[in-house]
Amino acid sequence: MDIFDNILLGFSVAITLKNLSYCLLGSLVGTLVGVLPGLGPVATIAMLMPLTYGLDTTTALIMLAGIYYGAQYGGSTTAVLVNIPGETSSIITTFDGHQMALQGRAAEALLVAALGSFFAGTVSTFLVAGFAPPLSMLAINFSAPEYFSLMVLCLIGLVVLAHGSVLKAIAMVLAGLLLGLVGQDVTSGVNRLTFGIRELSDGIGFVVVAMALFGINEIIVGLESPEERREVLSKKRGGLGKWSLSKEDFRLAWPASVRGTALGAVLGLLPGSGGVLASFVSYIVEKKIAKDPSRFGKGAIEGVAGPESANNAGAQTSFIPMLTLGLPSTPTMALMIGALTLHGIQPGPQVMTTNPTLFWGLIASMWIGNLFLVILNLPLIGVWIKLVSVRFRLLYPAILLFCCIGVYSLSNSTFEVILTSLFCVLGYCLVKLDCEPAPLLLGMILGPMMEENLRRAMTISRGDPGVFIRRPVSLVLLIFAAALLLMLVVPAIRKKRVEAFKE
Amino acid sequence: MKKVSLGLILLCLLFFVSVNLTLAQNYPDKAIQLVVPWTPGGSNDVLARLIGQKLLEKWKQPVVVENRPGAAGNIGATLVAKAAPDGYTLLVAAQNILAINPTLYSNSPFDTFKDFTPIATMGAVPVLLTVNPSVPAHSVKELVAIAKSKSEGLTYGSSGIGSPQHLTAELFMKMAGVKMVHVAYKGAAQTIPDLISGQIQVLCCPINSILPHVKSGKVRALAVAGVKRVPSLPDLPTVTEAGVKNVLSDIWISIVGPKGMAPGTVNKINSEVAKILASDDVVKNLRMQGIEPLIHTPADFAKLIRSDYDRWSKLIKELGIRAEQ
Repeated sequence: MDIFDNILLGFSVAITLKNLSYCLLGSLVGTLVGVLPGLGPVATIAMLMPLTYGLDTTTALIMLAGIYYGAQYGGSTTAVLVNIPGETSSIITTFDGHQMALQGRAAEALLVAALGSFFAGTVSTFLVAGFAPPLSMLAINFSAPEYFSLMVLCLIGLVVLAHGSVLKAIAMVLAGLLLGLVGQDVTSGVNRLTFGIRELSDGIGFVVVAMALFGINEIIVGLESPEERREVLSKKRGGLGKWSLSKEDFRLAWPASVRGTALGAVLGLLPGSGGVLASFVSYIVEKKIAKDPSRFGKGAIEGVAGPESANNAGAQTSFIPMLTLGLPSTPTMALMIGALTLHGIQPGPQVMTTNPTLFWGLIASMWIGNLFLVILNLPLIGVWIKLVSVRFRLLYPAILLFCCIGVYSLSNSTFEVILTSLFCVLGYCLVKLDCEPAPLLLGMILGPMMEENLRRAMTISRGDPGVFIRRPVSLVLLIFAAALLLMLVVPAIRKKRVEAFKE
Repeated sequence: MKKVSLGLILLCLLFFVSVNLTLAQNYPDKAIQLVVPWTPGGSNDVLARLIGQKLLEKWKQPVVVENRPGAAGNIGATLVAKAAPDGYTLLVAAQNILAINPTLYSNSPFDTFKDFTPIATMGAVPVLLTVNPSVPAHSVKELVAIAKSKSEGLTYGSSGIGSPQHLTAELFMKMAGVKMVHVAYKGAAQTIPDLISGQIQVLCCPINSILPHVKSGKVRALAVAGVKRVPSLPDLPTVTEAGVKNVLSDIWISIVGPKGMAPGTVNKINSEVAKILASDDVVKNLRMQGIEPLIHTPADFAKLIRSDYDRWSKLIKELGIRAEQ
C-alpha cells in the first residue's frame, strides 16, 4: 500500500542519528519554553531560525516542529503546579489541573496530561499522514458563516465555564467582548477605543491579558498570604501524589482524552482558532456530559485529560494546511513557511510530491518527537516538582522575569510590558470581586472573530442571513448552539416553575 | 560667551561630520539592526533574513533582524525614522509603508521624504489578478463583462483597508469601469482559502503566496498587474496587454535608513546588496518565491518612491479611502 511505503520512507528519513538528535533537541527546547510562562514557540522559533541555515531543510524543520509541539507538552506543567499557564493553550488546564495539585495529586495530573497528549499526538500524526489532503479541503470550506456559527456555540458554551455566579460570568464575557473591540475595525479601517495610541490599533494582545490575569496575578495573590503558606505544594496538602493512575482515574480519563483528540484534531485545522479554542471546547464538552458536573473546577481528571489531548491534537493537525496548501493557520505555521522558503522550498500543494522525504520525514519525526516527549516528561515531572518546591521568594521573581521577557518578545516592545502591568491591576480587582478571568479572556478571543465573520458572511451573501442556515456545517453548529442554550435555560425555568407552584 | 558657545557648537558639528566620514570608511564595525515592521514569517521577513545572512558573511558583522510589527508597518518605520542616521539601524520597507501609508492614514507618524534616506531596493513582487475557477472568465475582458452584467456584482477579497490587494483591485475597478464588492480580511492568510472555496470570486494577490495555487489549478490567474510579464508564468499577459490600461501595482521591498545618512555608507550598503542580488543562488531562491530581484541606485530608488507615492496618493484621495491608526 502506498501509505505504508510513504510512512516507511518517512521513518527512514527521521531515524538517522542527526535527525533524531535534532528532534530530541527541538522537543527539549520546546518543553523548556513551554514551561516558562510568556515565552512561547513563536518567539523561540524566530530567534532560532538563523541557527538552522546551516542544517538541511528536513532537519531544520524537524527541530522547529519539535519546539512547537514540545511547547504544548511543557505548557501544562506550570499550569498544574503553580496555576500559571506556560502556554496560552494550557489556560484551561489550570482549572482542574491545579486543583488536583492542591489535593496532592500533582503527579497524576501531569501523568494524565502527558499520556493524553501522547495519545492525541499519535492519533493526529496518523491523521496528518493518511488524510492530509482531504482534511485540508475541510479547512478550506470552513468559511465566514461556519466561523460565525462556531463562535455563537462557543459564546453560549462560555457560561458553562462559570463556577460561581452566572451573572458575574456573563459580565466577564461582556467585558472580554469589549476588550476585543479595541483596535482598527477590519471592514471600515476606523479605530475603536484606541485613544490615539498607535500600538493599540492592532488590538490588545491575547498573551498580554493572559499573562497578566493568570500568571502575574497568581503571584500578587500569593503575596497576600502569610509567608509560610505560600509554598505551592506543601507536604500538609498530601505531597505530590502517586506515580500511577488508579483504575477509576483511567476509566474517567481515557474517554475524555479520545473526545478531546477528536475535537482538537478538527479545530486545529481551522486558521486562527488554535489550541485555546480546542482545549476550551473540549472542557465544555466534558463538563456537559459528566454525570456530576459539580466536580469540575475542583480537580476533575477529565478536565485535564480532555483539554490537554485537544491542544496537542490541534498542534499536530495545524500542520495540515501548512504542508498541503502552504497556508498558515497559526503564527507558528507562518514561521514554518518562512523557514521553508529560506531553505529554498516553495510551500504549497506540491511539497508532498516534489519533496516527499521532507514531507514524510517531518511527519514521522512528529510521532517520534511525541514519543520522546512522553519519555522525557515522565522523569522530568520530578524535576519540575522539585523546582516548584523552591522558596516563593526565589521562584516567583524568576517567573515574573520570564513573564516580562515573554511579553516583551511578542513584538520586541516595552509597550506590551506596560500594558501587561495595567492588566495586572485589573486582574487583582477581579480576584477581589470574585470574578473569574477565563470567561473574560475567551470573550476577548471569540468576540472579534464573531463580529468579523458575521460582517464578512453578510457582505458575501449581500445581506441575506439565510446563508447561516443554508450551509450545512453552519446549520449543524447553530443547532448545537440552540440545544446547548436550551439545556442551560430549561432547568432554570423548571426550577422557577416548581418554586412558583410551591407558593 | 556667545562666541565660545558658537565655537563649541561648530566644533561639535565638525566632530560629528568627521565621525560620519570615518564611519563610512569603517562601516560596519558593529552589529547592524535590520528592523522588519511585520511579524516573522512573511515575505519581507524572509527577504530580510536572506540578505542579512549574506551581509553577515561578507562583512563579518552580525545583522540582526528585529521584528517590530504593528499599525501596518508604521510602528517599526517610526522607530527607524527616529534612530541615529549612522547606518546601524535600517528599515526593511515594503512599498506600502513609504508610498501608501502616509496618505492612507490621517495621522501619519512620519513623512516619507523628510524622514528617510533611500538606500537600496531588494525585490519586486508582481501582483496577479486571480479568480475562482468557477467564474466563467478566462481573460480580463471576460471578467469585465461578467462584472458588468451581474446586478449584485462580484466579490473581491483583500488583506485589509489600504493593502496592496485592496488598492490594486480598486485601481482595476476604476480603470475598467466596473464595480465589485470589497470584503476585508485580517491579513492575507484567510483570503486564499476563501478564494479557493469560492466565497470570494476575485483576488488581486502578490504572486509569492498565490503561485502554487495557480499552478495546481485551484485558482485561475487572468493577468499580471505590472509593467511586464513574470518569468514563472510566461504565458500570462499583463493587465495592460489584456485591455485595461494603467493597472500597475508591483510591490517592491527595500532598505531605507533614517534621514541624513552619509552618502558613503548609503553607497556601500547599496553596492553590497546589489552584489548579493546578482548572485545565482539568491536569484534562484527569490525567483522560486516569485520575487524578482530589483536593483536600483539610491538616486533611482528615490525617484521610484516619488512616482509611486504620487500615483497611489492620487488614487487614495480620488476614491476617498481612509483608515485610522
